[in-house]
Amino acid sequence: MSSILMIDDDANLADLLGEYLREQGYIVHTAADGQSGLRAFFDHKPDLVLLDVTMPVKDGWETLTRIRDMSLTPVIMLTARSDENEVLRGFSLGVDDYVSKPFSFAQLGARIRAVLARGGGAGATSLAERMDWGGLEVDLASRRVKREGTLVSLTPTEFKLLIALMRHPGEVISAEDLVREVWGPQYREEIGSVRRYIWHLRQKLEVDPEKPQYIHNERGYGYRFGTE
Amino acid sequence: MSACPDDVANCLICVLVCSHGVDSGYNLNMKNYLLGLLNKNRYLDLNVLQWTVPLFLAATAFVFELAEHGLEDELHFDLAFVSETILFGLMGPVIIGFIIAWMRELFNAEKQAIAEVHVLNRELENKVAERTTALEERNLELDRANRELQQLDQMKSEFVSLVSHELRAPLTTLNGGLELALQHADTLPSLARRTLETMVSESARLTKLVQTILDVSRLEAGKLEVNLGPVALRPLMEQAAEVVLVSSGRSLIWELAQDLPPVLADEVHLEEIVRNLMRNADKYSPSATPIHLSARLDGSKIRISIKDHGLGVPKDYQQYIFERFGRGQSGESAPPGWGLGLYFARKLTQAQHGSIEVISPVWPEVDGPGSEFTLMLPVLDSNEEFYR
Repeated sequence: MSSILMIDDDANLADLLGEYLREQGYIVHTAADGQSGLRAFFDHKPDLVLLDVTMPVKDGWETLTRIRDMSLTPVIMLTARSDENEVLRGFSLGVDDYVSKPFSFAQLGARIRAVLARGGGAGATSLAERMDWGGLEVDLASRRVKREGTLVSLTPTEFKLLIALMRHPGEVISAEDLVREVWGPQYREEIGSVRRYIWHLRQKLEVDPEKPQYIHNERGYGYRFGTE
Repeated sequence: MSACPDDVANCLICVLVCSHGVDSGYNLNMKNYLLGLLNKNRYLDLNVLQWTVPLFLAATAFVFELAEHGLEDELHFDLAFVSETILFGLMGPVIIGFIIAWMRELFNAEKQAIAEVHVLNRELENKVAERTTALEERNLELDRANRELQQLDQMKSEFVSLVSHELRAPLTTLNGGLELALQHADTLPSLARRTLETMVSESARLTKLVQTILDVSRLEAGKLEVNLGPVALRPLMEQAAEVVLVSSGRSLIWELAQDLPPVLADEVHLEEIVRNLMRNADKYSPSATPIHLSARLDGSKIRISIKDHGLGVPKDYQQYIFERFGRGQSGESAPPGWGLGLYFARKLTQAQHGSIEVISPVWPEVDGPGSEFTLMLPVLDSNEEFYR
């Protein structure tokens, strides 16, 4: 059974979320500020930390830095702000995931399972919720893509296309199959769009789109993800 | 300016020549020069010249006539001597005296006119200076007022953003608590369950409002990210209609062109805009009437159109509905809304290099003239070779 430490000054949220997580089978510890959160972290050695950004005494960023000085325990930041800069700052400080308020408990539950699965915690699921290939990391739960540690902004359809290709590394997938997987079988006429989507996907993912490292063309057959 | 003669006689000749005026520039310069001389040198004062020149001429003429008639023979006061003396020694100087007097009057009049012009100029300069000072003060006041307004607007935006951020935390607790309570919905009495479900729906509305306000303030602050990429319109429009319109049982009339190329847009934002327009069409038209959805190529753009059979948007309102808090209908009977949707839609469309407009009336029916909202978005490069 995994244990979670929740550091948040919002007592009502901590109370209800704690209740929800206990129902999900986790052991939950709570702390109301960064200072007491760090003490609770040493005392309980949790498998995962839920950390609010805005808190009295010691804010979330400072607490995160102290935790990262001593441990690699997964941390999910909870914040009322969702600016791109905040997210980037979080990832640069070693945050494992980032959830913006207002979030649904079910959504947070999925993120917790995904992060614990990565870390091999007791709450690990059998689903492959994270994919890595040649410096490209894809987190299915948070729908985030990083290349060499840098976030890449993909549209939802580009993300689905990438996943469809990454699920079959080294295999050739036809444009028809991609359309079926991404949009559904009723959108066969969108086959002409696949080439354009792939072109734009390469512009965002590849270091040199002219010499792709990830998505390769197989003339007359389709596309292949992975080795040349 | 050419050099002017110094002696008085030549100056007078100069004046006489100039008064015939061949070159107005030369004429004016000469007058100014003479006026200057007259002002500076008392001996050239025309009051003096008026008497001295005729006396000098009279004396000269008399001496000349005496010499002329006396040298030939002894002096006789005959008709020739008397008439010549009267003509050259008396009438000539008198005429010259009158001319000089006339010139004096002219100079005096001109001096007076110039003095008046100087006074007027000074008054005008003073007035201009006063007006300029007043205008500068007014500009400073306007500038100050403008800065204050900008600060107020910024404070208002920051306040709205702050409040919205502050609302996000309690909303999380509220939504989470409802979610937790409804996990065991089957064990709850039916009244409690219905109440909780209503609260979930209202809380979702509130969450949506807070999210929209935050998106608007982020957009206005230039912080909203636009992630451009290809967007296939048929799946996007059909999926949006399925979420917004199909559940309400509304009949839909589709006109999607074949082989529609993808547009270059932000998929998430575009779907939000299309859903918003569909929600509006649903909200503002009778449920028994159909909604027309179409997309077609229009030059280098794609035209997406959503038409309804509602009451339409009056011409006077059409320019306001894309403004903040601008709504097609107001008052108690108006459908619920905040007037932010279309403002946000326009801002987002512009951020994607597109445009949005409304046309109303669309149909000839008086009771259902309807409105048509059209989105114009740039088509992705249609050159197939480019993507090989």
